Amino acid sequence: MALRNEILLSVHDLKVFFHSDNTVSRAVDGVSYDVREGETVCLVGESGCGKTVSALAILGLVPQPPGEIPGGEILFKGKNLLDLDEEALQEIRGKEISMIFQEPMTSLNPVFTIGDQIEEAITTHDTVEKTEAHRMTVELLTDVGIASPEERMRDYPHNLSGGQRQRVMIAMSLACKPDLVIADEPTTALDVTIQDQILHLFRELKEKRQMALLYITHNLAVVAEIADRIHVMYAGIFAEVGNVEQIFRNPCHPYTMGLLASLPSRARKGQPLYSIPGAVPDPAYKPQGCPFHPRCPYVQENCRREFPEMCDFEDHHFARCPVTYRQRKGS
Amino acid sequence: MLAFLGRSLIQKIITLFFVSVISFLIIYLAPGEPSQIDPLNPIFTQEVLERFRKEFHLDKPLHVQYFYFYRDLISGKSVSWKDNRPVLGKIYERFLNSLPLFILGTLITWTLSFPVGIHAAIRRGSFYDRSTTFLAYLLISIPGFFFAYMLIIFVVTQFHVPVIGMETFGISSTGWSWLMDRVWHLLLPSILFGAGGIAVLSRYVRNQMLEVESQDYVRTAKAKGLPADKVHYKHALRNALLPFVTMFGLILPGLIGGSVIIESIFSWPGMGRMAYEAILARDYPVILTVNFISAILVLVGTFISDLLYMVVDPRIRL
Repeated sequence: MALRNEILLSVHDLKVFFHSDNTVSRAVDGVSYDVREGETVCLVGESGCGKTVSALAILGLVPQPPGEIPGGEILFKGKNLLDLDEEALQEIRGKEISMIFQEPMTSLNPVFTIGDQIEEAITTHDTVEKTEAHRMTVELLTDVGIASPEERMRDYPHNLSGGQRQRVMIAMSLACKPDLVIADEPTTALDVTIQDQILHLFRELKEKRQMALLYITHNLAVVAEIADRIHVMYAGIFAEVGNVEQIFRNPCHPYTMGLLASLPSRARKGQPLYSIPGAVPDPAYKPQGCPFHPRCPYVQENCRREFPEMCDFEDHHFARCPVTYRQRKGS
Repeated sequence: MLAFLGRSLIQKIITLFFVSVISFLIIYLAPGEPSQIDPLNPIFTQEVLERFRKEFHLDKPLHVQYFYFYRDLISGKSVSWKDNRPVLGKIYERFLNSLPLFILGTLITWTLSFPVGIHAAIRRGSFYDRSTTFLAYLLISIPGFFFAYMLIIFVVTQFHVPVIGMETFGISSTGWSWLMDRVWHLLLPSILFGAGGIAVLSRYVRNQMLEVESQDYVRTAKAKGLPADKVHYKHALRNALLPFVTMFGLILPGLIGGSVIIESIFSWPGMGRMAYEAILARDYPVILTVNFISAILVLVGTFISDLLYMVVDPRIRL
C-alpha cells in the first residue's frame, strides 16, 4: 500500500565521514533509500553501524568538523537538504522534519518547564498567540497520553519518569505537524512495558496524523511491529532492504540471517543463544571487499577482494550478497 | 524553606565556633609572642615585659585568653595592641578604602569574562578562541607584581599621571580635579585585579560552555529549528551559568584576601594590606578579627550561593 504514495524523502548515495588525527572514519558509506508519505521505514543495525549519523545528516546536525559529507544528496520534497544554508535548514527542522532522540533523560533541557519547551517548538515556526500555543500544547500532551496536561506543563523534566519524558519529546516533535518524524531509538532507554506503550503510541499517532516515520533501532522485535520497509545496515552500508515479510521469512544476506538467528524467541530450550562471531569493524579500518566477510559463515574468496553489488532477489527485496544470490537463483 | 534557613543558621554558627578556636590556636602556635617583637630594644626591660603580658592577659592559660579575646570582640571593646585603637573602627576605615577597588575589579572581571569565554566556546578552535586562550595563559603565568610594575612604568611615563596610593600626596584641590585624581589612582589596581580574574574566570566559562554545548538537550534545541543565537544564549548558556552562581557567593571573602599583593604594590591602605602589616607586628586582635570576619564572609557567601542556586536551578529544592 505504502509504495503507491508519493516519495517524501529520497536519500541517494549518502556518505558521512569523520576525520580524526590521521584516520578517516567512513561512518556512512553510500546509502540510498526512499521514505514515502505515511510510510514507516526502519533502519536496523548494531551500535556503531551509522544509523544515527545518517539520520542526523538529514537535519544537518552532523558536527562539521570533524564530520564531513563528501557525497550524495538528500532530497526532501524535491529540495536537496545538503545544499541548504543554516537558516533554510532551521525552517525545516521541527516544522517539516522533526526528530526524537534516544535518551529522554538528557534530551530535555533541565532548567525550562515542559510547557515552555513545547510552546517554544510551536512559536518558533508559527506566529500564534501565547494562549493559543498553550491550548495546542495541552492538546499535544493529551494526544501522547499524558494525564492532567495542564499541571504537567508546569513541571520540569526531572519531575517526570522516563516514559513520560519520552512522551513529552514525542509531543514536542509533533508540535508543528511535520511530514516526517525521525525517531532515533526512542524506546531503547525505557523498560519493556513502557517500550510497548510508546510503540503503541507511535502506531496510533501515525494512523491519526498520516505522517511518515523514519525509525532507527537495533531491536528486531520492534521492527516487526511497526515497519513497512526495513533497511538492515552494516558498517555504513545497507546489507539488505525489503518489507517485514521478506526480511523475516526470507532473509537473503548472511548478516540478516545471523541477526534473526540470534533472536531469543528463536533459541531452542537448553541451547545457548546464537551470536554472530566477531564484532562490528572500526569504521576507520574497514576490511577490504565485503565489510561483513570476516564474520560471514558463507565467505568465499571473491568476498575478500570485491565490494559486493546490490542483488535484486524479488519484488523490492535487495541484498548485498552475490554468494546467496547465485545459490538461490540456482546457477 | 524555613527549616532550611534554621538548619543552615545553626550549622553555620557551629562552623564559626570551630573556625574561631582553630584560628586562635594557629596564631598562638606560631613562633614568637607580641611581647618579644623587638627583644633588643633597651626600653623593653623584664618588668616592662611582665607588665605588658599581664595587661594583655598573655600570662593566662590559653582557654582563658580565648574567652577574653572573643568577649572583647563581641562587645566591640577589642583594641589593636599596636596603636590602642578599636579594632572594628580600624577595620571599617580600611574596608571603606578597599571597597571601591574590590567593586571595580570584580565588575571588570565578571562583565568581561563571560562574553570572552562564551564566544571562545561557540567559535571553538577559531583564531579568536586561540588568541584568547594564549592571552589568558599569558596573564596567568606572568607574576602579578611584575605585571604591575610594567603597567606602572608604562602609565607613568606615557601619561604622566600618579598611580601610587589612593590619591596624590598632599592634594588640596577639590571637585572635578580631585575626583579625576581619585579615578586615576583607582584605575590601575582595578585593571590588575580584573586582569587576573578575567584570565581565570573566562577559562572556566569557556570550559563550562563547551561542556554544555555537547549536551543532548542542546541538540534537541537545534533539532527544533531554533536559530543559533537562541540555542547558544538561551538553552546552553542558562545551564552553563549554574556553577557560577556558587562562585558568585564566594567572591565575598575576596574583599579581604583578594588584593594583598596589589594593595602592597600600590600602597593602597586597604584591608589586605592592614592584615599583612598586623601579621608582621604580631597584632593578635587585628589578625584574629580579620580572620573571624573572613570566616563570616565565607559562610554568608555560601549561604547566598545556596539561595541563588535554589532560584536558578529547578532541580534543587532545599
